Amino acid sequence: MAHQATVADGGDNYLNHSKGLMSWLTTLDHKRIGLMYLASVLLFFLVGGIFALLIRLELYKSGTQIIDANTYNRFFTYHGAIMVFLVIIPSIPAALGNFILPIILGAKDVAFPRLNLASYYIFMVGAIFAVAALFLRGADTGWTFYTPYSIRTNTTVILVLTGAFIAGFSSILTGLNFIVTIHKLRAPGLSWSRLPLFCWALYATSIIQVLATPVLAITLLLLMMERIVGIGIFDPKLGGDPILFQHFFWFYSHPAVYIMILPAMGVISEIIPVFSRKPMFGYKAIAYSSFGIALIAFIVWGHHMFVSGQAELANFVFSLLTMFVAVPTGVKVFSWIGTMYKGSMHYYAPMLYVFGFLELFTIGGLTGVFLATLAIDVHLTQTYFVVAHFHYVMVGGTLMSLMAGLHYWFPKMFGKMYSERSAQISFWLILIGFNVTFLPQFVLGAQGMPRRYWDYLPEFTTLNRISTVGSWFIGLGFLYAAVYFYQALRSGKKASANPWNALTLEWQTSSPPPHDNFIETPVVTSWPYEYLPENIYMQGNS
Amino acid sequence: MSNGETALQHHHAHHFASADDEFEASKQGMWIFLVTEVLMFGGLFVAYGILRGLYPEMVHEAHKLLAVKMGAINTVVLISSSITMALAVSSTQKGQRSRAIMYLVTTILLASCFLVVKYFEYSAKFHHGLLPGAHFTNGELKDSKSPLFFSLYFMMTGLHMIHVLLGMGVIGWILRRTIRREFGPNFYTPVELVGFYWHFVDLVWIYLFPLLYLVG
Amino acid sequence: MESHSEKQKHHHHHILPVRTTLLIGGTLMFLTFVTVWIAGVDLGRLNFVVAMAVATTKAALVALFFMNLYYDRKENGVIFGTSFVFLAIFFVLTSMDLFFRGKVVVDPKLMEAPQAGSKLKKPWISTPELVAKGKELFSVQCVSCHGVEGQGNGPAAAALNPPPRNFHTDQGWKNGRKVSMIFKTLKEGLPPSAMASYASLPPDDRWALTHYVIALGPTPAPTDTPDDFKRAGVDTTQESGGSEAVVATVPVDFALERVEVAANDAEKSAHLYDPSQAQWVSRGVPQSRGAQIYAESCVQCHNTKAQGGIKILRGTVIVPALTAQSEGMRSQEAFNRWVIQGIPGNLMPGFGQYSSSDLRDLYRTIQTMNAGR
Repeated sequence: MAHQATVADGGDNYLNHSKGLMSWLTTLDHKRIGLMYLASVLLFFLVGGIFALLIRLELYKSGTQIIDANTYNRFFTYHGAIMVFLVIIPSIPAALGNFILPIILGAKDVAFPRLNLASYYIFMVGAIFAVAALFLRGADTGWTFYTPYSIRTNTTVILVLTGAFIAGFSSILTGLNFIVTIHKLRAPGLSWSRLPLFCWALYATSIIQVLATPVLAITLLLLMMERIVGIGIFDPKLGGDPILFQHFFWFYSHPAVYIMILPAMGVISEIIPVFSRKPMFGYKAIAYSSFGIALIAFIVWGHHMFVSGQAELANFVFSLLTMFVAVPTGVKVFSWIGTMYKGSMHYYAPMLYVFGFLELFTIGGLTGVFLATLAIDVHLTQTYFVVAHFHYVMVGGTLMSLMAGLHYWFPKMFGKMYSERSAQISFWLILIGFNVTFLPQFVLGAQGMPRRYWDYLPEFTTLNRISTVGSWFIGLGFLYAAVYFYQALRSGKKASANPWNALTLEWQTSSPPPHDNFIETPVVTSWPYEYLPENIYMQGNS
Repeated sequence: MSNGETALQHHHAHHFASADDEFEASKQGMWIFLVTEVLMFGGLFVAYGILRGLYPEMVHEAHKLLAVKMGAINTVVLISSSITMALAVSSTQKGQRSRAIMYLVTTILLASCFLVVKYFEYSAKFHHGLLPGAHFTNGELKDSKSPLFFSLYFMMTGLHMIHVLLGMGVIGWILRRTIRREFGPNFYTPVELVGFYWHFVDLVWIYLFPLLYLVG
Repeated sequence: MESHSEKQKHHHHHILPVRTTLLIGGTLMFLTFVTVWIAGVDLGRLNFVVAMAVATTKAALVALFFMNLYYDRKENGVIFGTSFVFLAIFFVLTSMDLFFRGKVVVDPKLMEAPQAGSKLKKPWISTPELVAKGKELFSVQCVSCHGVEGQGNGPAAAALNPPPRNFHTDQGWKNGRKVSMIFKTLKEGLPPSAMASYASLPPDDRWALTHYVIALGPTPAPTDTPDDFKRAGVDTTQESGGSEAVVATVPVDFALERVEVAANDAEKSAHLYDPSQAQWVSRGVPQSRGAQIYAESCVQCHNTKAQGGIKILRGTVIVPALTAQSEGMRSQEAFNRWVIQGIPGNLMPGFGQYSSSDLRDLYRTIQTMNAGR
């Protein structure tokens, strides 16, 4: 790969380009904005994680342990809302995407840097609204805000709705920015057929953000008006239809699931060929299947509503359409396996997280097929089976690849190496902890333990206890990760420009990158996945 | 069309190769923004379609209480403002600054005219108790679902009205910049994009008018 | 190549001629006029189609010329067009639910409460059969308060304020002593007095009770006007007197059957717990006074172990277990008040006939029964 880029060493980089808090808060540099997103997302992850641990602690035994039923309702609402809207949705696109996308395209910045900074602040304002509600009466509707309960409950639903409404605009603007960036700011020679798969994934994600999020905005607006004015469109008392709200909500929120998973798949696609030292197998298939997933995302939302009382026809059609999701997803998984097949594998932390992703996401995906089957879903919906399923998909999918991406790009972001040994220990803690937490929940769900309650029948005690113990391991794993990342930042070994010997553009500039990403605009002359088996040199085995 | 010729000294941002690229990127950004607008209004149109499909008689009965004449006047007003906006853009492109200022001012005046008509229309509705949902007090309409029609009427026209207000704001902003001689044949991106936005506001009304006033 | 890029450049920066602008504007005005005019003509369903066709033409003109899409690169047109495709998906899939719900849920018949009427013909006219049936029912339903003779001196009467009606005089009837009004009283009760609603009895039974109660008093009773019947909810134009919503409750017949079964069981059980001897004794052996009273007055509802085993539903009342936590078991005073006064509006009647030493014994008996559990 003959990129015409010069590596600047020891000189100017984006971290020392200007100094002081204000130089960060008013920065237009996509890399700094990306890091600000990352810091915020990790902070919210901590908050959401604490709620998760408290929920599991309450469920350690049947009966009241530490919190009463109403507090429990508020806690799981907060856990869900924070993790979905403030962690998982912005994590990869807004944090990693912001940092990596322009560099991997060979651009100096995103298309609209001011808009980019504005999205960050809009996101924070939304988050502050949502978190402010925490200190008032909270919300107890779950993250889905189903009517008519969300109209009647006397908790501070409006504040949370406003938060989600505002944060939604941030998501829209980021998507808009990325689409234009990918269209207009690719380096010379970086044709569509040479575009790295992470960009393809972000492109498909952005399309979903732009098409689906406005519907969420109008839905939340209608719900606010429902509470303030009583317009009655979703209120059965005034002649409206509460199920219509569910259609509106899931028209956004199902595609939102793919806003969470598509960028994750992009990260995985970047890492696998690097650590398998083999050309990407099925490059086009992976690129196009991202669009397949994005399209299908918009036509399957009704599977969240099989037991809502929607028409039989809708149940049938949505069940059928949902099965199609397995096709593009399968295409991706098989292409990844095809890439690894007979490759010279290197099991460094990013790659371990990729395996974690493959394990968890496959379990999550397959149990999803059960739930897509109408007849089975009627029994399993509203049980812990669903809880386990979506945690396998969301945590197993998004969080695993966020960790994979963080470990992969950490040397690029900060110019430092973390301790590989610690990273591996933390990975095993998280992976084992996760499975111990959520595998029992499949069994609990199949046995009929309903979700969302703060208490359960005594016969479910053993499995719940195992699950709670598992959650402690997850917590420990992430805590440990925080520790070694902090150590790496303070006193880690200096990372070279390209420690993984990767071919994509972001590795062809110094670590950390200079303010304008490249000293000279790079020119791309080949496909970025031409890895050769003998081409092995990594910082770790020197 | 290289940026060197720019009489008004517009410097494109450093991450674009040329002013042309910057213009194309901004325009595409605007189109994507309009896509999000279509889907945001789209939610209300879907709700309208569902309501109409479920209760055609109710919608038919309720729509007769809307003032077709006022709606028609507002349609004409809004189309006129779209014409003046288009003329403002082409005047700026041709460097006819004073004409552009005149057209922009006319556009703002027409928009205010739209709001005045809307004000009279809304007050008549309030007066007759034709209010959304829970506040509906009109006795003329027998169908118990009638309040829902007015909920949608106010949501749709209200959201549109907010867009008109925002539009007046941004037209005012480019008017100010035009007066300060910031635009000319070599740089007119904001004028054209605000034009797009204003035409879109017109476009939404083109659908709202027949759906609510004419064929309920 | 040169000319192509020249042309493209021209396309991106197309300046809409004033003439075209005015032409398009004029067309838009004309179409607005057309659509208003056609809406006034009744074309049935076609009205909608025409209006949408005109609106779409107008929208297309605005997008293509005012918004430059006609001269622009294809990319932006595709982007804008996509939004309508996804909007269509949104509408079509949502309507697959909303327009195909079927009738099951909205069938109004399912939402109505079941109705039942009298099986008799003109039940407001007294017959000897009705009076006889009424007497039978009276002894089950009413005697605890109104007394066996209906003089308002039943065992529970002593503690009731206002006292139960004496049916032998025509003084002081709150609703009046007409057939319609007594029927009304039985249906609605006389809140807030202890007279409960007997709407759970089928209308036939209430008619029978009505005629029996009238037969107890001086004859002739005052006669009803059509207005009275209307107030009582009786439709005299129908043979059955019209129908009324059935109260959702366990049928009284069934409940009374259970009382009977339980009482027989108690009778048959050979042993009773004797607190004075602190053991179970056979029925033949002399018992403490408390145990006797319990067997006499309490066991029918509260069962042999004070567990409230028989659950009789009237409205929401369930006969409770007599545990140490029960309100009436907190102290001797509370217990006395409970037993003597009963719980007005509830199935628990008052028992005024026992002395305070009887009550002390009974209290202790129940306490030991609790302890024995």
